[in-house]
Amino acid sequence: MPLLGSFCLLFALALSGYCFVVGIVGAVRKDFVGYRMAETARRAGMATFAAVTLAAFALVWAAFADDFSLSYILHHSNRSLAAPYKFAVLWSGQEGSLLFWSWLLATYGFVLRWRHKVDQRLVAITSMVLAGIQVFFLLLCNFVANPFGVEPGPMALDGAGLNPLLQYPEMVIHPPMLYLGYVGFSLPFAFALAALIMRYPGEKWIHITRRWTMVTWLFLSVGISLGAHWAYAVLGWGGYWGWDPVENASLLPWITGTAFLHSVMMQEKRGMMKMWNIWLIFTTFMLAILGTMLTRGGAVSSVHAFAQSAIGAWFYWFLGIVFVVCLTFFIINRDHLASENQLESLVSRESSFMFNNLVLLAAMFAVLCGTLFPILSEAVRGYKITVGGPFFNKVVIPIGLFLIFLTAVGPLLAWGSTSWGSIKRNFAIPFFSSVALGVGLIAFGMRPFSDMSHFYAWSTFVLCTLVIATITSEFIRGGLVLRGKMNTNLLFAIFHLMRRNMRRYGGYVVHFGMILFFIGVAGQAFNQEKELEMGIGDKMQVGHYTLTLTADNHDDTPVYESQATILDVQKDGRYYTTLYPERRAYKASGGQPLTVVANHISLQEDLYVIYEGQNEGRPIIKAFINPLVVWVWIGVIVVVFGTGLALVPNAVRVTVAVPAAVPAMDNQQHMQPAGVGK
Amino acid sequence: MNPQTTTVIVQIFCSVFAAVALIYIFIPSKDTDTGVDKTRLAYLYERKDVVYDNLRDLNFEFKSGKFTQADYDAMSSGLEAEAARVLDEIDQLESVPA
Amino acid sequence: MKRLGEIVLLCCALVLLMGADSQDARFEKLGSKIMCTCSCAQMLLKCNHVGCPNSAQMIQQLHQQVNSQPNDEQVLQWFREQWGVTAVVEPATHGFELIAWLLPPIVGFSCLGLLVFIVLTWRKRAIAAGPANVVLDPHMEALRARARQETEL
Repeated sequence: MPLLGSFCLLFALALSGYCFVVGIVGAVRKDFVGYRMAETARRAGMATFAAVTLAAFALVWAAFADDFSLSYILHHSNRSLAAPYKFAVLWSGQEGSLLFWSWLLATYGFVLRWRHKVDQRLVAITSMVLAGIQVFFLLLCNFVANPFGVEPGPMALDGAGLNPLLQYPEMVIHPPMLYLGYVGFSLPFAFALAALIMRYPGEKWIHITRRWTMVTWLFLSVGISLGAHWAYAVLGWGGYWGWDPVENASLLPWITGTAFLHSVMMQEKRGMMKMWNIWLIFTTFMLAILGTMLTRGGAVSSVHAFAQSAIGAWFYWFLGIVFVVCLTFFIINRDHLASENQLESLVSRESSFMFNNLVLLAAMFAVLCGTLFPILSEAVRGYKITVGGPFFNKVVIPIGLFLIFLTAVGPLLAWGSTSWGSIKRNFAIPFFSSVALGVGLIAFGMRPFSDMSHFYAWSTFVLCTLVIATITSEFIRGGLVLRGKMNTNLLFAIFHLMRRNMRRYGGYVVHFGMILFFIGVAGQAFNQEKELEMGIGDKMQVGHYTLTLTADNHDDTPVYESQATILDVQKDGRYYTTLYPERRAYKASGGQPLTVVANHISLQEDLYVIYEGQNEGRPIIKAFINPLVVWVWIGVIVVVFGTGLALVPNAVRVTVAVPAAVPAMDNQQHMQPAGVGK
Repeated sequence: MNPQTTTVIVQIFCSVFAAVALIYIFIPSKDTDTGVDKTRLAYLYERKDVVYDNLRDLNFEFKSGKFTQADYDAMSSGLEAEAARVLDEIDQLESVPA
Repeated sequence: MKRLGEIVLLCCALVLLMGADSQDARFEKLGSKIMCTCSCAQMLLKCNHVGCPNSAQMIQQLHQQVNSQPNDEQVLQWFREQWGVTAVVEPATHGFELIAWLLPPIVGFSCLGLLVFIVLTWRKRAIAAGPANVVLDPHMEALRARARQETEL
């Protein structure tokens, strides 16, 4: 298997190199020979997929065959590892995860090249750009972090095993999802760069990449959420987001990707913000590479990051080259990106999109600043300071609140400009609903001015009500129009409304999901926790729950040793549930501990209990009450559902046949707005 | 299986794989791009679809009561003017014989 | 009017009093800004491993500092000096680390300023161009009517 894997990796590098170089020649030579060369480049790109797939298969095979002659398998697998986790070996270490990156990129490239008929010239250049990225990752796999490196000496009897923290079902899905997101942004990036290189006429490339971008964004969203849920369910510290540098690294391209998904509508509908959009997608790709670099290069201290290695320098060079290439083509072809329309008013949908982008960019910059500041401080002052949760919460939460406000306002404004009369019509009900909720919350005992976190939570609830009211009014208003036209009931009319414009109404469902997510996050302001050393029969009171310890058991299995308790829980004096918090020590990993959290979930709050350890043989139990957390996960599910809806084609499609025989126009004129020069 | 035999099988497999890949890449294909650039007319039709969609959205939103008559008139006037310019140019290009 | 002013002042004072931290709240707040230095990568009050060599001592010191120092930043500074700069997970609000706090708002407001400038420039251009479609061209009017007709609901 090492032989097969190494050969396939080298062959894949040669193929993608050919695809890249010959792709450039094919793009430059606009004659029959050029087109033939471009076709061989396309096929070489598709063959790259086969070669990288075989290499990935060889590594997974080695994991299943317990081939500990391979250094990578020796350090990331062992004989007793369950089958699904042997698949996870592919992305559990640096070398394997780079191979996995390459394989996903090759897969995306294969689908793109397979569907080249969508626009052959555009796809040919896009394929060449993708091949360039592929060459970089295959260079890493072949010469810097080869997963098929052989361990010197006789083969070991067993491996070191997979990190027990990663032996959790979500961990089998979380990294691939995140990688699908990271790698997926290569596609819109490659399309954007190709469109800029060839001065592509019109905005069709955005139409082609729209679904790619949405699917990529969805994968990244799911990947980040699964990671957060894993942290909550496995790490046992009671939270789901710790502002760890690697978590932040995944958030950065997500934020700019979100901004791109919004601002690209301006380009599609109004022919505006072309320069902005092209840089937004360039930045998103570069941030995805930065995210991979932070995890792989060890530039920042993180629980996620692999050890410090020479790979970071390669990424710095690659990022530099990408930036220079983007900047060069931008300078050469910037006139191609001139705006076709201009902003008429500050109170318009265009300006709401611009503010949305501004706010998202500010959030991205704040997270980037906090993440990279330790590196800056080390370079300037010689020591690496720590920037953690308190900094990010202070900087990011106010930005987030403004973003929720814009989510409410944006859809109600018109393209062009909106008068005060229209604003009053649209905002009266949502505004009074949110004010009523704000006053109601205070009347029911919430004290927003007692603490900053309570103020933020109260503001979140008020603004979320504003968004929910505006989204609801959008559905009801539209539904009422169709009800009249179709002579049907409101529910059916709303269904038809969505089928007419899946992207828009799917987008509203995504906004609704984000609102549920924010409500869940705001619940953190009311978290409670208590820690107690307990004996059999001892009680712990936390909030309105009483926990009684009824048993404390020791267990010894071939894989781990564990200490587990049984806790009977009463709520307001009545039996509520029984919880089984546990703490394990995995033998293969030198006794590395793992907390098995006991969590009772309800729509109102989670009762989250961990077995913290022992003191003189008595268990130490820590209990958290985490209000509204479940809404975070429900929100994510709604976001996934909404994105799925937005990906579905509309029921009614307007198609206009394009005649074939037309006078040829020079490329400059292609991109002029219709009517210019008249 | 003997390690040496395995190595030979893997070497044969690698050679066959490489040969098949190279044949696939270099075998002459009819699937070659003809090199026709996107026309101005195709671009105009794309633009017309977009402007028409914008007009339909605006009409729908006006009917749902989101905007005042004055706002609607101002917005539809701009979009209709843009649509007229696109239609005019399409008509001109289509009237030229190929 | 004077009465109204007094009421507003009283309300402000009440709000400020409501916002005043108790010592327990200060302890919790500051504890969430200090990291346990035993390399467990946990916040001081969240450090949950048994037999931690540092957390008990650090928590005791935090209690002492909260009681003796009225200013939160002084407490954090004490921990920076005592346990190293990495013990506090929030950059200091003075010296070089102040940059971390200043950069996001500076960039944010600069972008906002740039955005407003762009919008104003565009508006000026639109005004200078004058109102569109003043001249009624019958051919163009017919095309407008066609567009209107083809996009009716």
